[in-house]
Amino acid sequence: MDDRKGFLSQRVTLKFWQKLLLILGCTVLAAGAAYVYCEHIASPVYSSSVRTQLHVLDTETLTASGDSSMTVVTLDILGGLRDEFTNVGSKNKGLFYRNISDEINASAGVLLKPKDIKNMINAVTDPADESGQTVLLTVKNDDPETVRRLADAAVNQLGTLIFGAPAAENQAAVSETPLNEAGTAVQIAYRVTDEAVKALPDKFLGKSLDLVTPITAFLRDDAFCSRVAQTAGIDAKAGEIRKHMSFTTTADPAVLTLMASWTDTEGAKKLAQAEGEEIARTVFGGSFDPWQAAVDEPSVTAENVKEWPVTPAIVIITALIALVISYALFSQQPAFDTLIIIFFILFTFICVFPFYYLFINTISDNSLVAGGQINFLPQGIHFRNYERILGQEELKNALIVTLARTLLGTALMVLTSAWAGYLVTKQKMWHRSLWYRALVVTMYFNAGLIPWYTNMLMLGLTGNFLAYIIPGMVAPYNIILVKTYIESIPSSLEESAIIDGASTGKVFLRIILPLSVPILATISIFGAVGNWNSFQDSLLLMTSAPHLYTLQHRLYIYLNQTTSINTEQISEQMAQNLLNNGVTTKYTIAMITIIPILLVYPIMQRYFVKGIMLGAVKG
Amino acid sequence: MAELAPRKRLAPIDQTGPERAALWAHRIVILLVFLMVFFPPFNPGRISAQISGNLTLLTSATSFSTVTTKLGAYMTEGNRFALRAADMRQSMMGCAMILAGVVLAGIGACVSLGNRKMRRIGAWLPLAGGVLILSGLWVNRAAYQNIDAFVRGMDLPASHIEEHLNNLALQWPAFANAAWLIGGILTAAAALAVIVFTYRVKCADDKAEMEEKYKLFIMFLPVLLLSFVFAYLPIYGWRYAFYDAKAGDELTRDIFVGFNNFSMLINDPGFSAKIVQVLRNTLIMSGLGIATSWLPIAFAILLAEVRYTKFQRTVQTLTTIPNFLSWVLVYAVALSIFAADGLINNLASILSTAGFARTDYLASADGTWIKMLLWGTWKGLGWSAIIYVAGIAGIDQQLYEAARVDGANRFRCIWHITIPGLIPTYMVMLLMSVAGILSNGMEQYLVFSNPYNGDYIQVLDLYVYNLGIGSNQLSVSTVIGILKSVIAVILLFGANGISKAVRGESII
Repeated sequence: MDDRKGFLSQRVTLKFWQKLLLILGCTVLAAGAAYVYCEHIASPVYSSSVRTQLHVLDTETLTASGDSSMTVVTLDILGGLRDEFTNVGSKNKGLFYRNISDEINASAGVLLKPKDIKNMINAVTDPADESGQTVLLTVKNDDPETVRRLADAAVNQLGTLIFGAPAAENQAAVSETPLNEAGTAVQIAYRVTDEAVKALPDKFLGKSLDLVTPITAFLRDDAFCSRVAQTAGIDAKAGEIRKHMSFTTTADPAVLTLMASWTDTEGAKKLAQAEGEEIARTVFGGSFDPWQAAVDEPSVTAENVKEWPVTPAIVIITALIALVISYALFSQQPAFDTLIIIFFILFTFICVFPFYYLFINTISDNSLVAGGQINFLPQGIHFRNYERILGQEELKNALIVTLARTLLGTALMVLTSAWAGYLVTKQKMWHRSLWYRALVVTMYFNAGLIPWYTNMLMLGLTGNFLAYIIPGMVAPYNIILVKTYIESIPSSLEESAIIDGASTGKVFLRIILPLSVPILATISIFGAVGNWNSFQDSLLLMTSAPHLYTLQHRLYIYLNQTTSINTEQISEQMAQNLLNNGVTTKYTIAMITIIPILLVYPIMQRYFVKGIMLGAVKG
Repeated sequence: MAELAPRKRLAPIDQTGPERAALWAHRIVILLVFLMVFFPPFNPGRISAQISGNLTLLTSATSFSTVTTKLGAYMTEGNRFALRAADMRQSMMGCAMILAGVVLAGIGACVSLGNRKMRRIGAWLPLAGGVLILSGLWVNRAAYQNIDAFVRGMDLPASHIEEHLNNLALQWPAFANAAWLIGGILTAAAALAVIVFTYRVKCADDKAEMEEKYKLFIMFLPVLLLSFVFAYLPIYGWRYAFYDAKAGDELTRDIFVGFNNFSMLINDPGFSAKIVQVLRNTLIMSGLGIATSWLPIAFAILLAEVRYTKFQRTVQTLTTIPNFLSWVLVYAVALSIFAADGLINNLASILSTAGFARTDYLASADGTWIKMLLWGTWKGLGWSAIIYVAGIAGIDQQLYEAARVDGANRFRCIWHITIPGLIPTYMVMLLMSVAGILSNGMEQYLVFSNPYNGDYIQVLDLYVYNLGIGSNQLSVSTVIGILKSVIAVILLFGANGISKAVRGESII
């Protein structure tokens, strides 16, 4: 042993078991002391959490109150149909003009392209109608009969786009005004009735209520928090109150979920009620009536819960600190070594903890997760989340697609790389170095994203499962790895086989393949992981075939759904899932994607370290 | 091998004059014919701009759905102007026959690399191929004529028929005649070859065999073909840079703009400002990566200093896990920890004393570059360190012993032995990073981008994506892509040159 000095190294040299005993002993003692302190000496602070909902009922008065930070629901019919009126060229949009074109062409023996029709019909929201319920259609054409047909078709299609079928009398009122005598220009006023407006889906609402920004500002304001404390009859400082109040949005912009916690349930309930009332009061400019806003009876979400899982956390942290200090003292290592070990433990912890966190959040009780209670230990363990998510059609599809792609694509890629790598080692090949270089150059030279995409389009590979497999078969980097490896196999083996009369194929199958297993294992690991994690090609190529999205692509779609859920891309069921259990759903899907990698990982690990050393560092 | 009796016959692989002429004539023709398969303008299945407009023969022959995609309304049932699916399928079959003919001709060209006997057998293949091509063209033409007749036969006023035909851009395809020509030439050349090899050349007793070098080449050919189709063929897409095109547009003469798009990048103030911003982001983030490229070395050296192998192995295993995640998963992890409902905010009541406020950390533009660097490091540090750990293991232990005998403590050992041992590897990595300075990749930045940090996170690759696919500005996006590819290759060869000058070895 060299003469590096550590703490306590002067007089006594400890044996390994003695060191272990001392270190463990200190750790256990410290942990025990912390536990005793937390449980029996320190007075525990219990808290309870409640949840309630604040309903803003009268959104019209909100505008009248003149607060510019809240916007009011307005109707914007054309805004909701933007795609159908503007993108006339693309496949799924510009439906207004396309449908009119179809309707007329089929019946009237006229032949008008959607682009032409767009020049003939103009649609604007009627500025004269403040409620935004009226759309003005102006139809112009040289032929009065065509104008007639266009007008009728336009009215029908507008109704269909809004209501799903040409509007009935109680849904829209249509009035027509000729703009000139020849009948070549006509203006139609299409007014959606008040009754129908109430039933319109959200996409027609031009603006929506934004209570989040103002309320966040309130909650930061000390005066507001003091008022809340007063209303609740709680004697505490503004800062204290602020820490115990929060809110989140729901799918309805006029409904908010308020959460409050306090040392006891009664206090929490009063706090939540006061929070709701004060928010309503402030939002409505000083006072409000029951028909303007309402606060529900608070429901208890957690009672007598220690404010955060104090005991386990403190015990663990104390134990860790004790471990580190006792290690520094008793291991008789130089300080530098101890520091290194601490660094690595920290870094490894950072690398691993997020997965642990994700996992415990997916197996714990969903309401606790939503309340942000699950941070270090799982509580209320169940596996229903996984059952629910794995039962969804979309995810099952994505899983199958990704699995098929990983297995099939990787197998083909490995075979091709092995075969190509072997052939490239044969010096006899005609212009071998030329072809080899041509292959390798493609690694560095990339024609660009759009050319790649148009190439795939040209080859008919968009929306096609083969796009996952065929382009991936030729991987120059892997071919180089295999080539380098095969060159290290003694050539005498090959030569003797050839003398014995074996063909190239037989030599490859019987001799080269079995010997190349290490490098093939390495490249199949890289290939499999690459396939499992693939996201870009699914994103770019599969817009027309959502059933072929890969798992990562699906995850990306869900991760990006926040308050407004885009039901174009995901099914109703999933949308519901996201609404009810947003965070848990996202974490569960992420875990489903990660777990296979983690399971296969120990096996992989054996091979890829070797593989790195086998493959030339030259890249 | 038996001794060869002296014979007057030519050896199996020698070629006479006429043979050589016939061979090369029909090889060149076959090569040209192959162009038909992969280039849309030469696609004989192109009945009109609407039908198979921008598709290769490969697709026209194999994918009915892709062929009829653009026809949209015209293929719907009950539409008075519907095209009949039967006609489209006939056209497809014609294309399939043409494709089969081309494949046969290609096989024939491969076979012709063998000896005389093989050439004689092989000469029949292009002939058969040529015949197939001609028949396929005939079938295709018949399909077209059916469509034509069907349209004309519809009960429409005459003016509308013209308009209708214009809509479908039904016109005799410009290259069909050339296709007849090519098919004819191919058949003629093949026939000539057959005649030459059957009648002018005697080789009845030879075995059919091929030289080793050609055999290997032919076995390698499929890989080359795949590489060509997926790596070189996209260069044909560079033509989009010279037109003013949006998605779904035909590239016709009227939207040809030449080098306008290139000059617009420089002259248009909006674009040039945006490009400067994007370049700034790219270079800064790549620069940060290069500036921290010594971290894996430090990691590896420190790891090697720990004496416990089990510890080393565990650390290595666990720290390489983040490398195997996709960036989408990294984003999920980021959400779980830093988002408004994530770990940090959950613990905010405790952490607030340390200054962590309750905010959504992801929805801000502050320190975007540093955040991206940190995520990149978290993901890649363990993995990059493996290479250096392997490098350290490869350093001769005797050097260390000698140094210790001379009285070096361990820091001096590291400085004077370990680090110089790792520098060659590091130089290669560094040069590769410099060569790839413009290519940051897109996935990482795509998943982390949001309305708040857009200006800081958009790197070149992401910008190309947003411009091309997001804003549908295909042409400008292609231009930027071209410039980026060219500059990347220049950088690569520059780095390679530096490597050769400094280390004496190239890196590619």
